Amino acid sequence: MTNNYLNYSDKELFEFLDGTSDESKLAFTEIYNRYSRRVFAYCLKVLGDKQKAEDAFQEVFVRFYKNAPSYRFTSINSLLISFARNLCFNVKRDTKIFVDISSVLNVYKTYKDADKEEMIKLVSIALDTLDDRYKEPLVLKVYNGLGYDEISELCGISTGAARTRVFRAKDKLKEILKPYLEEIYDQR
Amino acid sequence: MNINEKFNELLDGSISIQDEESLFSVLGKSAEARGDFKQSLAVEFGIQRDALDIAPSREATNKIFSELNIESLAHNPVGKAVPLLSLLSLRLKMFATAIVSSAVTAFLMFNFSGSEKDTINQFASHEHLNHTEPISLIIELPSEIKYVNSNSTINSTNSNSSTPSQEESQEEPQENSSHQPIASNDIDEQNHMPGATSNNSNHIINFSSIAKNNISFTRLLFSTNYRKENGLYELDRFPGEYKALGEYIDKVTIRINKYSDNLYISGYSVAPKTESYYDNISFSVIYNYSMETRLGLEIRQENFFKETFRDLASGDVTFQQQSSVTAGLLLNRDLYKFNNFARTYIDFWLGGNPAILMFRTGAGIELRLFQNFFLSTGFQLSQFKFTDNEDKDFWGSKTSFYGGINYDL
Repeated sequence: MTNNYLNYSDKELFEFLDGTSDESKLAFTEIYNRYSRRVFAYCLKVLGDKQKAEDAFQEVFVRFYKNAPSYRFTSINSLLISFARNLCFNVKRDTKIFVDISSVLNVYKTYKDADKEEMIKLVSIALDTLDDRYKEPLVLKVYNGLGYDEISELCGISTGAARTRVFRAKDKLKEILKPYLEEIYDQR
Repeated sequence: MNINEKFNELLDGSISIQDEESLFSVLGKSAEARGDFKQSLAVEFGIQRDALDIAPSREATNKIFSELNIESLAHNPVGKAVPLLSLLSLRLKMFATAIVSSAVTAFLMFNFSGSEKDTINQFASHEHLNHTEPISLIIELPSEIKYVNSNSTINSTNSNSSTPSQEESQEEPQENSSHQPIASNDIDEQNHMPGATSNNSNHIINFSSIAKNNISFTRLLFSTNYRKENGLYELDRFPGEYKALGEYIDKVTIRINKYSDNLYISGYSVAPKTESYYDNISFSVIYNYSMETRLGLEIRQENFFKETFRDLASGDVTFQQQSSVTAGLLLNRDLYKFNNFARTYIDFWLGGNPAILMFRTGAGIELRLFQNFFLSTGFQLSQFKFTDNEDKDFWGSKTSFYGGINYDL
């Protein structure tokens, strides 16, 4: 009789999803609680626009709930991200999003005396400037918690390439933020 | 060695032991490498923290659950006060369900009550009581009944439902012989027991019909727990956080309560009764099969009236109050989390046994003793609807306090 949805595995929750029952709704709620941040982070990072990200994010969960019964369980996280990926790339195809690297410099100028919080902001903005080839694997790795094998499967690349792209993304971020980082560490 | 590659491997946890040793060796010797490593750490920190700070808005969450027609129980990163209208709208569902469930109960109950009409009509023969003198209404416990005679009991159903105390009373005539049970028109002795008087001698309450329900009778309980809108309402359902609401579903609650009550009947003052230990004990098994609906069975011993004694000369009427088992109670429960160790609730009841209509409301609190055991206590106000021999409605009320133990399976 104990239905503690917190203790259910993803697979067990997934099996509840029939789209109609109370159990299905509760299972969906638990899934939402587990993965909404990750999915939203993906949408936000890939699209770089909060409103568009929210629209895509909503669509991801709606589609997931409606279509989950027709999918075979593998990984809820991967399934959600695959929905998000398709939606986000459709949005990106329709809308060219330009992120000017100068925005990083502007923030940097504003916050050059800043501390860790500013560092986070700078990293976030710098991430937006990355090419999707590098940004997406990094987002999937760090923001979505996927392993390299899952990233490779989602992105259609090898595991080694996924790993390399994550590393390259970090290197590029470091490169973009170098003036700021050097100033910080030169002062110490 | 590509030092940035090794930094990434180190932070990633995938660096080999040999490369790790080499890297630390380089870091120990080169200030430039250490500076570079600090920058890598700063970027890594920034990414990790940025990931933690991202959360969907409340509006986005609400839109999703609204579109899917799911009552949102999702976590929300931000909270705000609930507007009064939102609170009221949340409760509308509860009240709507209460009305529907009450209608169902009333339908069921009146169907049951139909079988009682013949019994009730037996009172019509007491036309001699249509006098203007006030009558006394005296309520006795079963153990106090000493004069019940099966030949002179008001209605035949009573003789079928003799309790041990009645049987005992038949063997032991009471010293006070002024008490005589009413047997149709056979009322021959005076009685004036301490009790209360009524100003309305035309009311002969059909308590005898109530006595018919001496068999065990389960009662259905339906309840509705209104849903808390996502993050809008601070009063949460027990236990714990939103996520814990799921724990409440598909659980069986076993409830044992002991009631202590005082009866009040309009137009009469009722002699205080003394409860026996086992009176007014309820046992419930309630299945919380969804967030909104509960279905359960409850058996509750409850004092109703069985025998009537009447003094023809004075018009005094003596009623016996006897344990019975109620039937057909609907429960609408509004449950709030108070904190992690207590849950408060408001109950709305409608139901009764085959002879009596009853409305109840009450409030209580359940305190977690340990694990899934709860101590429950609260009060209850009951309104009873009787029918007199002229088919007039006749109302009584009862206030009850109770305590008991709940266990969530």
